[in-house]
Amino acid sequence: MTGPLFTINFRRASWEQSRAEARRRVVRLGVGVAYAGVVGILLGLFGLNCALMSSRTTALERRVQRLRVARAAAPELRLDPADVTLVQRAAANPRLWRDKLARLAELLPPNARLTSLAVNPDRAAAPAEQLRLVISGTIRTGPERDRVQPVVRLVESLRRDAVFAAGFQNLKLISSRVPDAEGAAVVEFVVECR
Amino acid sequence: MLSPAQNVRLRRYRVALGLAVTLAGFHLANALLFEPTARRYERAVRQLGELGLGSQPGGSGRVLPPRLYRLMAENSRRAAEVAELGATGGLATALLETSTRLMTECGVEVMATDPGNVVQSPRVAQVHVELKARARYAQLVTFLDRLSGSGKLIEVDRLNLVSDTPEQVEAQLSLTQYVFKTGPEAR
Repeated sequence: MTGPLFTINFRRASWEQSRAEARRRVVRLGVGVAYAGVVGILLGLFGLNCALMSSRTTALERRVQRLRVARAAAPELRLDPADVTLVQRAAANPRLWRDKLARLAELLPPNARLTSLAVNPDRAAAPAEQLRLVISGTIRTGPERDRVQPVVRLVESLRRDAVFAAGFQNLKLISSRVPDAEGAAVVEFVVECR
Repeated sequence: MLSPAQNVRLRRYRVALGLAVTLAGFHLANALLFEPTARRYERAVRQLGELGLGSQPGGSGRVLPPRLYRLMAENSRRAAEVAELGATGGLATALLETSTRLMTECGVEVMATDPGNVVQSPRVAQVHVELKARARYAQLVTFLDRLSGSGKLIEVDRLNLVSDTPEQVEAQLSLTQYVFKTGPEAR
């Protein structure tokens, strides 16, 4: 006896119909979820924009209020856009040098000593050129062969320090020399920051 | 309660209804939340412009912070008064008085003072002075700290420190003070 050669599924039409229906349902669900997602993202962005706008507006209104109070103290003072730069620069200048000099004292190793320090040594009048600092000093070295190494390390630490190096485009070692070749334990250096 | 026919109709148009509700909600939120805030923002920007503190030329959008405006107001005098004090040396003397007082308070020994010239421009007067002093390095740093909090617009133009002894340095300072002019004469 052999088994049936083929079978006939008399419910195939309804099976195919239910599959097509299931497919349609999945597509509908996908479209619905995508739509809800897009709308959700848009509403979220809208909400974030609203919140940002609101906080900025509040800050701006506070600033206007404070300016009104300040303005009432000096009603005759007329402002020019150039004054903004001038006032900002002049107000920040002593603090800038205080920070740099304080930081320099912290960054100098215990075996180093400043011999001179000059801010704007060329007496430049232009504000951009006034930010020039020349540091001269000495470092007492140990018995190592490369005596310039501590100076290089100092320059590197000055360059890496965010507070000290702020505003300087170029920070370099101008010169370093050992005064006496024989048995000298001191290296003289000059560092320029501009 | 909805009738079965209404229920069927509602179900048929549910997508369109959902869209309409979303759109209406969005418009409502925009009208109630965003638009009033945007109007407030525009008004604040306009007021800032009216106060004379609008954008810089070139559109950098920088404005003078109120703290600096106050500082500027505190460092301003009537133009005629500035001209008179500049001519008689009163501005330089006042700057020297302020700086030497701060130095003395910080333990810095003032050795010499030199009232420099006063450069007058239509809106601001620049007062220059030179000082020679002896102090410890830390005392000079404290002096700069006090200078920055003095409420005066004083800039350190030049500073020259030379190690005098291991503890002390000899300092030469050039300071510039800015005095803004007010009144109709200040253009």
